[in-house]
Amino acid sequence: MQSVPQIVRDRLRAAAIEGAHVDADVLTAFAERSLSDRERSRVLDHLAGCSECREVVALALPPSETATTVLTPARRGWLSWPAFRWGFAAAGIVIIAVVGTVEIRRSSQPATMVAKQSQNQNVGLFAQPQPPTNTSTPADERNEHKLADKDLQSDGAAKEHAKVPEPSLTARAIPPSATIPQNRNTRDGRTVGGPIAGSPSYGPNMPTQFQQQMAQQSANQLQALPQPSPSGAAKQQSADAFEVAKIPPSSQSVEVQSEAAAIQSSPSETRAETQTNQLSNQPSSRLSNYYAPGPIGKAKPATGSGNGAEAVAPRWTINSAGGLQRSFDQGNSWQDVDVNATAARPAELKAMAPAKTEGAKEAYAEKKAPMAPNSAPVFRTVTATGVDVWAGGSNGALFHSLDGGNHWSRVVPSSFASTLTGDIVGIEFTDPQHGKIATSSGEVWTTADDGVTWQKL
Amino acid sequence: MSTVQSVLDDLLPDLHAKSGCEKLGLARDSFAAILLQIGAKQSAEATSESEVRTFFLTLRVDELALARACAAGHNAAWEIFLTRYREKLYQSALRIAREDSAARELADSLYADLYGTSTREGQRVSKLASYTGRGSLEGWLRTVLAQEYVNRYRRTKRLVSLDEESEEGIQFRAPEPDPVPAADPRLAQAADEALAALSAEDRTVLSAYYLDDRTLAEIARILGVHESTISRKLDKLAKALRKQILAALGRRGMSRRQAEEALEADVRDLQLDIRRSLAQESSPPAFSEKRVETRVREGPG
Repeated sequence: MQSVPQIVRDRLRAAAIEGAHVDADVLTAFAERSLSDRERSRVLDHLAGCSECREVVALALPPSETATTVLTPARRGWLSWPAFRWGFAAAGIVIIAVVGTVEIRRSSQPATMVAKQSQNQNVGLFAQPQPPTNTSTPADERNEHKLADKDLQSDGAAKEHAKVPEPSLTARAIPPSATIPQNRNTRDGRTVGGPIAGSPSYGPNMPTQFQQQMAQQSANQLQALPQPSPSGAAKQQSADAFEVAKIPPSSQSVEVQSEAAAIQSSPSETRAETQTNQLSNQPSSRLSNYYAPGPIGKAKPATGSGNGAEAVAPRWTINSAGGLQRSFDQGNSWQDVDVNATAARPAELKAMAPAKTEGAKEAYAEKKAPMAPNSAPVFRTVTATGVDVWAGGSNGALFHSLDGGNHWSRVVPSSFASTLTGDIVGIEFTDPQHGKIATSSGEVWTTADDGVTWQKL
Repeated sequence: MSTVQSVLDDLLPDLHAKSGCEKLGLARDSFAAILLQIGAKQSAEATSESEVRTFFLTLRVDELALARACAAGHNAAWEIFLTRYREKLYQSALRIAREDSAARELADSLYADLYGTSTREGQRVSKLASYTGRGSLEGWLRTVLAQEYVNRYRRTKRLVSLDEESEEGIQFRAPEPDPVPAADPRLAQAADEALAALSAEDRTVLSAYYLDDRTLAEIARILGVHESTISRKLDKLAKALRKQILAALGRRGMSRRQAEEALEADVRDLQLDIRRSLAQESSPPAFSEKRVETRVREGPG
C-alpha cells in the first residue's frame, strides 16, 4: 500500500483538536451506526482530530469473536461444506468410473457379450436394410477409417488376420445370406478385436458400410482359396476395402441398397432366424467374430482393442424431456438417440434370446405389443459400461444396447408369471453381466447374464 | 421544544409500554420527564417533527428505563442490571485493560460511578443518569469503560518510572517527536489544503491508520465497513493527497521537480543527517547540496 508523505502525518497530528469530547452516548450510537447522517459526520469530524475519542471508540468495539461466530457458521453452511461434500461425491464418481472402465477392459467376459452382439448385428442387418439415420453416420464412417488405418499399421493385427480364414471357412459353409455378416465379422475381428471395434460396422443401414461389405465380399472370394492367404495379401485386401470405403456414396449407394434388398428378399424370415440361431450355436465362429485368432486370452492383448474403446465409447445423458442423448466428444456436443429407430422387432428379439423361458417370451411379446413402434419412452436413468448401455424409463421401458447406442433392443425383465411394473428409476451394473434395476413401484430386479434372464427380489 | 413535547405526547403511551418501566419501579411521570429532557437536548439536532419522531422511536427505551431506574436507586432494577451486565462489564474491562488486576480495578471504579458515590446536594449521582438510550446499554458501558481507561492511562503515562519501563522491556524509548516545522511553509499549507478538502471520514481513516497505528480490521470495524474498503480507501487517499499537494505546491510557485523533492524530503531524516554530520567532525566534505544548504540555514538559528 502506498504511504502518505510525512508532511501529511505531521499536518494530521498538528490538526488535533482540544476541548470537549463527544458524549459516551453519542460515541456508542456512532459505533452502533444508529446516528443520523448529519450527526455521524459531526462525530467523524471530531474523531479525525481527537485521538482520545478514536481510542475510546476502538477500545469500546464489541468483541470480534461474536462477529466472527455469527458469520462463520453461515459461511460453512453455504460454502465450505457443500464444496467438500460435492467434491467427495465427484471424486467418488470419478473413481467408480475409472475402476469400472479398467474392470471392463480386463474382464474376460467380453466373449459372451461379443457373441450377443453378433446376434444382434445379424438380426439387425436382415431386419432393417433401410436408409441410414443421420445421427450415426459420421461417427461410424470415421471409425471405419480409423480401423482401416490401424489395420494397415498393425503387424499384430496382420498376424491375427493370417489366422482368420479358418473360422471364415466354416462360416462360408452356411448359405450365402449369412456369409456377408460372417465375413464382415471376420474382418472386424481382424482389424481390432475389441467389443468397440465391431460397433461402428453394425450400422446395417450405412451405404458406405455396404460398399465395404461388397468390397469385403470380393476380398473374401480371394480368401476362399483352400489355404489361408499370407498376411501380405490380407493387408492388401483390407487396404482395398479401405479404398472402397472412401468412394463417395452417391451412385454407389444406390447400387448397394439394391444388393441389400436382394439379400433380404432371398431368405425367408424363418431362415434368417435359423441362421441366427446357427450362428449362436457356433461358439468358434462367434468368438472369431471379434477375436479372430480364436482363444480369447490370445486376442485380449491386442493393443488396438483398448484404444478403440477409448475412442468410441460415448457418454450418456438424459435431457429434461426424458430423451436419451449421447456424446462422442466428452460431452461437448450431444446427439439424440432414438431407441425405436434401431430397436429390433419383437420376433427377432425373441429369436435373439434363446435362453429365455417360454413364459418369459410370451410375457415379453405381450408387453411389447401395446407399445407403438415410434413412441419414444421417457427415460429416467441410463448407465453405460463401455459400449454396453442400459436405459430405463417410464412404464417399464428398458432398452439395452451392446454397441454404444447404435442398436437397441427392448428388454422386459420377467420371471415366471410376473413382469416388471412401474417406471424404472435406477439401473446399476457392477459388471457387464451382473445388474440391478429399481422401479418406482419398489421392485428390484437382478440379472446375472447381461439381461437375458431376470430375478425379482 | 413544543415540537418535542407534542411528538412525545403522541408517542408516550407506546414508548411507555415498550420500556416496561413499571416493573422496574420507575413511575410513568418520571419516565416522561426523562424522555422530554433527552428530546430537548436533541432538539438542536432534530428540528423537524419527523426527525424528532424518528429520534424517539430509535431510542432504546427499555434499556433507558432500566438505567434510569438504577440511577434512581430501585433495587429491582439493580438486580436486573447486575444479572445482565456484571459479567459482561468485567469481560469488557479485561479486553480494554488486557490485564486482570487492572481490569478489576477499572470495572470496580466504574461500578462505583454507576452506583453513584459522588454526591451533589446530598443526592447520589449515578453515571447511569447520563445514559440516554441512543445506543445499547452494553455498548455505552463499554464506551464509558474505555473513556475511563483512556483518562487513567493519559493521567498515569507521565508517572511511569524508568525502572518500570525497563521491566516492560522498553529501554530508552525515543521521545515523542514534536511536530517539526516544515522546511518550506508552503509545503505545510499545501498539505493542510489537501487535507481540508477531504471528508471527515477520510481524515479519520488517515488519522487512525497513520497516527494511531490502528489495523485495517480495527478501522473497518470502527466505521462498520469491510476491511478491503479501508485498504482501497487508504491507497486511493495516499495517491490523491500526493497529487493534490503537488498541485497546491505548483500553485504556490514551485516547479514540478521542486515540489516532488519537497514532498519526498522527510524533515526528520534531514535533521538526523544534520546531527550525524555535526557529530562527525572529520566527515568528508562531500555533502550533498541539500545537506549543505540545510546546514547553512540551520546555522544562524
